[in-house]
Amino acid sequence: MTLIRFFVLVFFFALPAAAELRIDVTGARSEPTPVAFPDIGAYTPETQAIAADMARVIESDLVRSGLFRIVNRDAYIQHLASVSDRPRFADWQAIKAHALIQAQLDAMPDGAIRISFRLWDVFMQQQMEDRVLSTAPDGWRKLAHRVADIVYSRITGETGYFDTKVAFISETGNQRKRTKRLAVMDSDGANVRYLTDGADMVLTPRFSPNMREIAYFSYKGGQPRVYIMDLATNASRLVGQFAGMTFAPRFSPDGRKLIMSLATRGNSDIYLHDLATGQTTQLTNNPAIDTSPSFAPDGKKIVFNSDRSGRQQLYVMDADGGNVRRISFGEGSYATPVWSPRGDYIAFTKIKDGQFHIGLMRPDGAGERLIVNGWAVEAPSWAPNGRVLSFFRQEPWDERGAGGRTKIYTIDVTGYHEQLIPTPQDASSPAWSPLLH
Amino acid sequence: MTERELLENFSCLTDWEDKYRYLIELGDALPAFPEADKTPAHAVPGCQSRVWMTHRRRGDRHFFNIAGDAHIVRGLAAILLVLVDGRTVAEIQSVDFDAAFRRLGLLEHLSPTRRNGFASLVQRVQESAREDA
Repeated sequence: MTLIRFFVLVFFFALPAAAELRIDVTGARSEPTPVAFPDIGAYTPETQAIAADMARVIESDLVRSGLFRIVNRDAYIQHLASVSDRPRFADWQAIKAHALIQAQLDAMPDGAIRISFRLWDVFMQQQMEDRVLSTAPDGWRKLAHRVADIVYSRITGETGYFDTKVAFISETGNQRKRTKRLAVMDSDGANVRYLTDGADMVLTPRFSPNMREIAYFSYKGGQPRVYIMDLATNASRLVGQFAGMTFAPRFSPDGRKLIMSLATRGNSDIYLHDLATGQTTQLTNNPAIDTSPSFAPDGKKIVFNSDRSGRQQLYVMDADGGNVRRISFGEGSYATPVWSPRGDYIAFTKIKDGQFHIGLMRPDGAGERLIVNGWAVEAPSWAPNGRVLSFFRQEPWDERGAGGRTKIYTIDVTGYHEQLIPTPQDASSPAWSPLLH
Repeated sequence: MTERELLENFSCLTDWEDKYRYLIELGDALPAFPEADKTPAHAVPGCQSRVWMTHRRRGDRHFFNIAGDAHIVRGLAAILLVLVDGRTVAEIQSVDFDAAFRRLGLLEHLSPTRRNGFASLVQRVQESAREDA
């Protein structure tokens, strides 16, 4: 008996250090993790149709992250009819799936739909998640993004980012006479909604932290100024009453203030505008162009760009404008800095030797690396988990204004997994929303 | 070349003749302007001598190419490009060019016609960015 116990113990400790399924999104590039995702069980024609649509959205989210691939369904050995069927792990190990998503969709008596799903670690033979979520039937797409967020989050240890929106500029027409409209879409390009009619040029949309508003720059009425649109009513209001033009707006992390550039007497400085009281505080005072301010997530520091030393470089200052220090020292010029919602990186656009780049550096300027380059790549915007960025690319265009298509992409902080967000028209200046749930 | 470097260089030059010579040097270093682009569509009206400008937007940033018959215009254009090239439309519209050229100590030495011509060029640059934003 003692001997048996001894052998059991030896056998147990001889196993390789058992680690549960985990992907490090900041690590070196790795092959996408194979996930088995059988059809979502559904028992009425209505739920079967919704289940198929939801499966497509969940699969698309996971695959587009670059971290997962779905194992070919023809290879599945076990048929899982419902979420309560116990997986035969040997069957899923045999087809080399590392994770298994098992789900079932039910219609509830009150008209809602309910998804029950389990996430299994196939090698450890352990359940990682067991969740039930419900919504009105027209909320199926959001529900699918939430399932994908939970799977992504459980396996990577990072917050998901699929149940989010992206504000952007929808572009049509010849490059010499471009029509630009403010628009929002889901993070995968679905549900595009146009917020302006294209009569006035609009640029640089930014979500408020509570997602109820978008600040943007527009030539409404011929005057270049910063406006805020209420997303519930589509009504826009001018921000403040200033003698000069305002541009490059962003909200403070608490959403109570707007930070932006104000040009008065031909000089651009950074100002903080309290949206409730209308009180405005000047934070920089320099003959150079100080612009593109972005708050650190704790609201204590601000990164901005300035040409005070010559070319445009990046600077960090305290939230009251004190303690200014330069953080970029490379060749070329730096623009559009944006602080990661995790606080660990600042993303920026860099122009060097006639090429555009999107890059990252630490908030003290250390560790600069360029993750995207092209003829024109610009406007990095962070996903709420701070692990993925959106940006836009423009192709070159000719003298007549033909070509020059703009498209929005996402990429992760490692510089891998660049993915197009498909849009009905050309699209630029993406601004990622916070997480919706 | 940056505005700060220009300021440092111009501040070393005390008399107008030296400044003028440096201005001409700057103009000579302007990027080549294709002859084919010297068309009426690219001509900047209101200038004493002939001036041409082409403009191109890349993403949200604006880039310009300027050519002129007169040495001094090329020099002024070179300085203008330091101030606007690669900028966004908002940044280009926010620049006070008069103040910048006054800081360099250049404006007071230009004849009124030259100053008007230069103002036309500045206006054309700002309009091009605005129309194509």
